[in-house]
Amino acid sequence: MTNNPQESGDPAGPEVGESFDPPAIRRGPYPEFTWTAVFIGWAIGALIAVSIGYAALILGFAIEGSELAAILGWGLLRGVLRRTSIVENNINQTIASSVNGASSGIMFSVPALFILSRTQGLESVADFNVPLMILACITGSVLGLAFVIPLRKQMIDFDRLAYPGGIAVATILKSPGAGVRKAVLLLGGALLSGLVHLLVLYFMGDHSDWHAGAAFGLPSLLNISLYLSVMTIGVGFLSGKGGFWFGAGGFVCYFVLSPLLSGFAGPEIAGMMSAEGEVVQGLVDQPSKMRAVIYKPLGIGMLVGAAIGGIVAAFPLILSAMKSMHSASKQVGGDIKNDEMPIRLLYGAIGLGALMMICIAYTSVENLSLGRAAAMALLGTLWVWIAGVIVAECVGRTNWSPLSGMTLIAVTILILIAKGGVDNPETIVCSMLMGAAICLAISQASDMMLDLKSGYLVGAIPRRQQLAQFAGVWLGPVIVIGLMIVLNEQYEIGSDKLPAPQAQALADVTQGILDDNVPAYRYTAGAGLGLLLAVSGLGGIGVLIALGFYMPFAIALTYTIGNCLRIAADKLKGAKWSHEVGIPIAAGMIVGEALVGVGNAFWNVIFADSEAAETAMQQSAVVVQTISMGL
Amino acid sequence: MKIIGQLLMWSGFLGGAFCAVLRTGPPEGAASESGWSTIPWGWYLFSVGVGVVGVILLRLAAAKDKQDDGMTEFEYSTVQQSLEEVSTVVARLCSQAVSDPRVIVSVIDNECVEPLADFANARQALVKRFGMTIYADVMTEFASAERFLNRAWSAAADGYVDEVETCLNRANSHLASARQIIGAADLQAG
Repeated sequence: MTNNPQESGDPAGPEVGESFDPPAIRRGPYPEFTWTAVFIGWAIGALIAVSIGYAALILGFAIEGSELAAILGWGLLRGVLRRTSIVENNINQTIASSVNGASSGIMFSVPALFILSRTQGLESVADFNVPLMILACITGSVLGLAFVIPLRKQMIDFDRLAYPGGIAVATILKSPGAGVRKAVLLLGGALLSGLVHLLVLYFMGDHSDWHAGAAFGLPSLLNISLYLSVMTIGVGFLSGKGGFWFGAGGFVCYFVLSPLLSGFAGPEIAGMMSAEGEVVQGLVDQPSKMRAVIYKPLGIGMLVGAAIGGIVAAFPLILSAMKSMHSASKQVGGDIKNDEMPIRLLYGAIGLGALMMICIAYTSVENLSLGRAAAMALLGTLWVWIAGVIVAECVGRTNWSPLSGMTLIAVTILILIAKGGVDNPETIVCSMLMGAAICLAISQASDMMLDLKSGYLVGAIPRRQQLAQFAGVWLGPVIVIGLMIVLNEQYEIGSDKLPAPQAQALADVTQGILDDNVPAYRYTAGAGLGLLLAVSGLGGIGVLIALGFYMPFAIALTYTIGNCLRIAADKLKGAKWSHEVGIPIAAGMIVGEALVGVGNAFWNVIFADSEAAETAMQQSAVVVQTISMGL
Repeated sequence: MKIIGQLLMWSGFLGGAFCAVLRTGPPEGAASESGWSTIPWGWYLFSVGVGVVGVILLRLAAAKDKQDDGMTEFEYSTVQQSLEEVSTVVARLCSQAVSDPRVIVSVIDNECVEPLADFANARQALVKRFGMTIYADVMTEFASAERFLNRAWSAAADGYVDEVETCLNRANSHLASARQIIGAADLQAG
């Protein structure tokens, strides 16, 4: 770790470029991976993980914590502790978001066990081994990181994926040195998006889609709705023309396929006229149902096919990246060697992680054979790699992560392997335990790549960031699983007070898989289509079009507005203007809406049911306190 | 050939997607009640096959483009020019002692960001001209140089002058390596 530098005076240099407070001249090493950053990172990460994890159980979605961590770190490190290093705050942010990565991963998967335990015959599934679950989540996180770190070069250095969230974080981190003008632009974007989001929440509540098609009398099957989110426009702006195919995927669904289906499909999809002359609506006229039943499963399959095709197509680049890491680790001394984490260490982590996964699967329930446990662990490990690549690429190109879809496939594979060998409760326990590990692995993989992008933009040393991410992965599972158990004891997860909608969905799907009700045929057909696009040579369109099938069209449409604005800005005002003015505003748009979203979540939690929230907050505080004392 | 390839690929994709979403369950009178009979696989495979023919045509067209493409020449000269431009600026910064970090911030913002972006936008010319391996080697050096310039910017904004000097020297050496690799590849290509 670097030491604190010596400061020497405050020279008044000539005013060059934008005006900002002249920095003091400092000698010595530049603070980056310091104990201050580590402890502040853990503290902020724990705070965000508890807060967002709790909100996720009530609201049903997790909130991206990177921007929040960067802002809190900025305030604490710069404001309170008077620290003076952009890259130190970047390490703090990396650790905090690594701790928080557990909240989205665990809250989507583990609570499903509590929900399923209320079904007759499955009561025992809630009695899972808690330390083993924590170990599984930590192992999964390590595996996810070990798989994705070697892809840094390919995704960030070679493909130069945008990672809009990473750009937003980097813009916050750089704001102390970027000059007053950029800070004002960032703040302006944040205020605009925060204000618009407040208005949307006030007037429309959680239903933030504007059904523009209906307002103009257009057919409902075209599904022309706009997601009223300035943040989404900002994300589209940051992605630029590279993200255009995401919207195109949505247009294929609702402007090509749905109209064709209304003419040629059967009555269940196209609708019909009843004998009494009444119009019976088909699925195409109910776009959200159409998406859930048809387009989303096809999109999941396409994502898988496109990712596998993408890996094959990018294999020479992946090979070059690995070779470069090998040659770097062979160098004796030198700076280059210290830039990257040793590749052999990562191979070791993967091997050890896979072995741990076998042990965890084998010991998770009494009657699982070693063969099935090994099959579950090895297929799960392979899936971590594929899904990690998919999610990292989706987040890199659009800022949206198909984490739930990837976890659903993982749980499906795991249940199908376990099902023949043990009874239903044991099948659920071992599959969910491995599924939670995989969910965490995928979540950490995408968070790592996003952080590495922001690190690239502020000039962080990748190896230090990777170490920082590893330093944070152990804490999240401990805190979030502890929080979840306490909350379940108090309120019952799945009850009206803690509905946990995402975990409820996973529990329903799990039941469906046990009853052999999986749309594997749709996944397979989608995989073929994704593979076709991936090998077309048109870089990245497979994943983007697949994501257009998977996500609500309203989001894709609003995102496309951002893409169009970027194309127009580059053309009319020039690329420099987009960099100097457009990007800080767009980054601010992400930050403002994210902060209002977090604030609104807490407002709802506290004021919607004050008694429940108060007790729950107290319980969360007790968990954090207990964990801190344990440390 | 390119247009026909595009037409076939997209027709195949749309045809396959249409087959995949045509029904919600097995058709009436299907031999099997299994969910797999929901999709008319014969038509699906035919459509995907059409798409594959389109992809093959696109690949052939792309290979032909590589040989006689004026655009590649233009992009390649952009790559060389922008690399030269940023190297000159960084070499100039390396030759002077850092007395005022604000100057470094300003020079990187005003003189380096644009050529770096130009290089990145035109980088595919390297794949077309030299193949994936040389592309990866050049991008490894270029990305390292850009990262060290970003670090020099951060260190300068925070006032850490020793770090600024180290980072500028590192960026300079990575840029020199990138130019060397391109130069050697050019010589080899004749």
